Amino acid sequence: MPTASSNALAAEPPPAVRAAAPVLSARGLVVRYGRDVAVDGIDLSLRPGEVYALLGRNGSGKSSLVRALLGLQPPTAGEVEVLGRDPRHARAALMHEVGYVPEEPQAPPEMTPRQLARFCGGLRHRWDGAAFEQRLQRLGIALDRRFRRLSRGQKKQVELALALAHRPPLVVLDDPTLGLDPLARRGFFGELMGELADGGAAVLLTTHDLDAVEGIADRVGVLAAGRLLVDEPLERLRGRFRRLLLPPGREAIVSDLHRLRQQPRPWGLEVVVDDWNDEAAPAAGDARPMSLEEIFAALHPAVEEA
Amino acid sequence: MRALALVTQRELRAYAPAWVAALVAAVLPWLAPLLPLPGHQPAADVRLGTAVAMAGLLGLTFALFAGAGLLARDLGEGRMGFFLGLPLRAGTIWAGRVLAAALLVFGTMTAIVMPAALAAGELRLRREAVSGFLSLPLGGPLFSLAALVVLPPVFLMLIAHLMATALRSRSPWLLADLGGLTVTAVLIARALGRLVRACAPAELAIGSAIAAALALLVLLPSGGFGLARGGVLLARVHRAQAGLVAAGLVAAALAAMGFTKWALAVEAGDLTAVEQVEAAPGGSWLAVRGPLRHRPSYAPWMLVDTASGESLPLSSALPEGRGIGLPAPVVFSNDGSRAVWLRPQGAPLASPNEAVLVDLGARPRVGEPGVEIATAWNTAILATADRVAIAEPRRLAVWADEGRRLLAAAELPRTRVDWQQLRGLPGGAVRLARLSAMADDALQLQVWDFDVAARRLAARCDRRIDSVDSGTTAAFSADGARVLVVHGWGGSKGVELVDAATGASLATLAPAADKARVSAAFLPTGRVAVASFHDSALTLRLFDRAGAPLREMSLGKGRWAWLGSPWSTDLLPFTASVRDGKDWKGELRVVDLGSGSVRTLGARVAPLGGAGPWWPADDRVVPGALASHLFRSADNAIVRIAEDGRQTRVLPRPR
Repeated sequence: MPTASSNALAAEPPPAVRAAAPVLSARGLVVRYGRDVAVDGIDLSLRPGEVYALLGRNGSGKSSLVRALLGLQPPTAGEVEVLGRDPRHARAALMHEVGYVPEEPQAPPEMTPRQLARFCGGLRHRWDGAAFEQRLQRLGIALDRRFRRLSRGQKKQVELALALAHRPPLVVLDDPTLGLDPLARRGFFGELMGELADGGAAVLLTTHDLDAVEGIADRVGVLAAGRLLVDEPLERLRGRFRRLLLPPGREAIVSDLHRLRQQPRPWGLEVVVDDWNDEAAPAAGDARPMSLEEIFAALHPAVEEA
Repeated sequence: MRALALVTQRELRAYAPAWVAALVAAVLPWLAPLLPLPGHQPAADVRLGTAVAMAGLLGLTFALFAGAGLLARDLGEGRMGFFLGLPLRAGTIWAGRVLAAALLVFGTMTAIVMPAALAAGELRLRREAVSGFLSLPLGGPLFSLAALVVLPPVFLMLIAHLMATALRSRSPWLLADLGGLTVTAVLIARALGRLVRACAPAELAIGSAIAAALALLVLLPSGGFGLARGGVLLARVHRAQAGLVAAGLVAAALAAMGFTKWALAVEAGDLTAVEQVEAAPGGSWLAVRGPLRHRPSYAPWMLVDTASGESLPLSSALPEGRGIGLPAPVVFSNDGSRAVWLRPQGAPLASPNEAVLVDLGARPRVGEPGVEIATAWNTAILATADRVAIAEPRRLAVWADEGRRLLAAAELPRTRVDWQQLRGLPGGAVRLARLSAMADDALQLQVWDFDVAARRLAARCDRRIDSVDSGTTAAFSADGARVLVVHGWGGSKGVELVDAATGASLATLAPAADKARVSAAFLPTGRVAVASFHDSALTLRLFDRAGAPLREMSLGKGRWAWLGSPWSTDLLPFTASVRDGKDWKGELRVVDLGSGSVRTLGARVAPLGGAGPWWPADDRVVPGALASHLFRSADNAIVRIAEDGRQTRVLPRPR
């Protein structure tokens, strides 16, 4: 079962976290492929112990952003600093402190988890081989089975185990549950949250799994067409979005609010506002909190209309 | 190093199927002798031959496939993120993979060849063999063998990597890649091809090594550079490494071209010695050949103007029949204003060749195009102010306009030409004198007159003079009227003067004598000089145009005389071979043909050209011309000797 991190329910990170230097920061980051802009001038920061969920539709630039942040591909412009270093020039050294799970399982198919652990462990400064093996055994993954013969969920688990076995202060997960069935997804996040609760590592997570994010993320970013539409603590995000159901003739009471969406209904008007304030709430109407999925959809009108 | 070892070890493990294939292949040579093969080759040889062939085949195949999979497969299939997500430098990933691929290729080759070689006794693993191995010089056969075995698979592997990356990236720049690769390969091949054609094997090896080293210098790190710049993006990796490789290969091509240009840009000042020389009968030009400073093997013939110091390198590629030590591939006109160069068109020492006219005027230049000739062996050439006559074994042709216009040609009888010479006759006709070896082993003196205007070839003389192996030689007078025949080795069967127009014998100038060492030469004003040896003394006999004796004079002590070209109508320099303790040495003297007095100049030099006991001389050199004053010294230098005996070094130039 997913386990919420200690600060998941707080509107803001604790003061100690706020004061600490970010483990990851990007300023004006741009990634282009020819004329196509994948990441368009993004500013981002991640503090120690924070779980940052980066949401976005397919092709919104999440993977490009992650790869550029880790120095796995060159950014077109902008500055990145991870744990005080520039990943473009110090990627190899940086990877001692980073656990990375890519979108697609990428481990060499002919190697077994045991061989992978020996290989990765030999390269890292710290390595908890016992924890790695225990984790896979707990999940029922054979240590001597070739990677290519594992199921997709098992491959993801192996890569997560490899990413966590050196207890890194920063874990980057690029859509780690992509293509997994709900059960496998739950198992994956369960493992992740267990590890995070133990170690207190900062996590940058890109995912489509909005339900899972609600339980674990401290901050949320929403990426669309390479731009960050939202970048704020999850609770604050939830707090400022409301769906208002107004009977006919009461439209005027939301005239001062910023209406993100507005749709006539048989019973009146449905309005989504993104600057809700409980203290200055309109007197009339039914104001309902929105789930992360609803907020995400509201931010992407085309999705909702579809 | 630990990371490199881990990556290499991982890659080697990934090649497991290839190792199995290699082991199977290593067994096959041992089965080869069981096959029914034609002939009766020893089993060890069959085994070794099969092993070498299989090692080469499998090594190159593995190099191709391993090279194609160095980065391109993982990048193309999106698996490179796994490695780049680890604390591994891009260079370490690349180096480990290249190292593992090289170990696979060379390990396979060794595993296949070594057992068969040991069984065949080609390798003896003894202590002295090892120490001998270690003491081999770097430039010796071990280095060449290693380069031959190591470089092709390495290059194949790296080029396969480049191609695989380019193909998988599906970049529109692929065509530019291929085009660039082709252009640089062509440029390098053309540059090195010039060294092949110039017959400069050591320079070719150096040029190839420079180009290969520069190419390796960029190919070896190219993948690491591409990976560091492009990360997991195949197209970016391709672009980065293509840029590096393009720059490096252009540098390699420029270096190869520059080195070739430098190696072939030689002048007379680079000569360190003169091994062969031919002087123009008139004027100040020489054709020389010898070792050059900083060029280990390139030694072209070059035309050198001793008056101005100007030089014109020809080529060290020699036409067939004009190999090293044989007469120069250059024939001068009598006045020294033109020369004809026999230039090989294709591979050195092979047909066809071409005769190219070289204008030695104020601005020397090599005329184009040349006249193609089938064989340069014993080809006789006559260059005059406006024509070139070329006598090949089967064909006599006269050309005008620098070889662009054929005036006349005639077919000559099929014989094996031993010697032939052309002379111009009044009225534009050409006379050809030839010693031919006939089918019955007879040596035949043949003379033809070729009327160019009428295009008619008329036989003047066709008489048997000796047998093929008699050692008989001949000289043709400059006016084409007489032939001086030295019968037998050193004139042991006498010296005869023959009328070229009729073939009639005019006179016997020296009788037959055992162990004769007779030197005979045509002299100015139609006279003939014959120097002979008797009782440790040298005697010179002078004859008139018809062979009638004029006078006899002593040349002093000596066992034979090398007659030079006259300094004036009556001053004839010669080198006498005199005893020097237990050895013999040359001593330059000059005889006054009018008074018979002999002056010893003492220099240990020998004439350029002239007549010795085994080669008679014609009278083309104008008395007093530069050619008559040039001599070759004992240290392979060309010196000019004035009539008072003063020496001036001409070549190699004093530095």
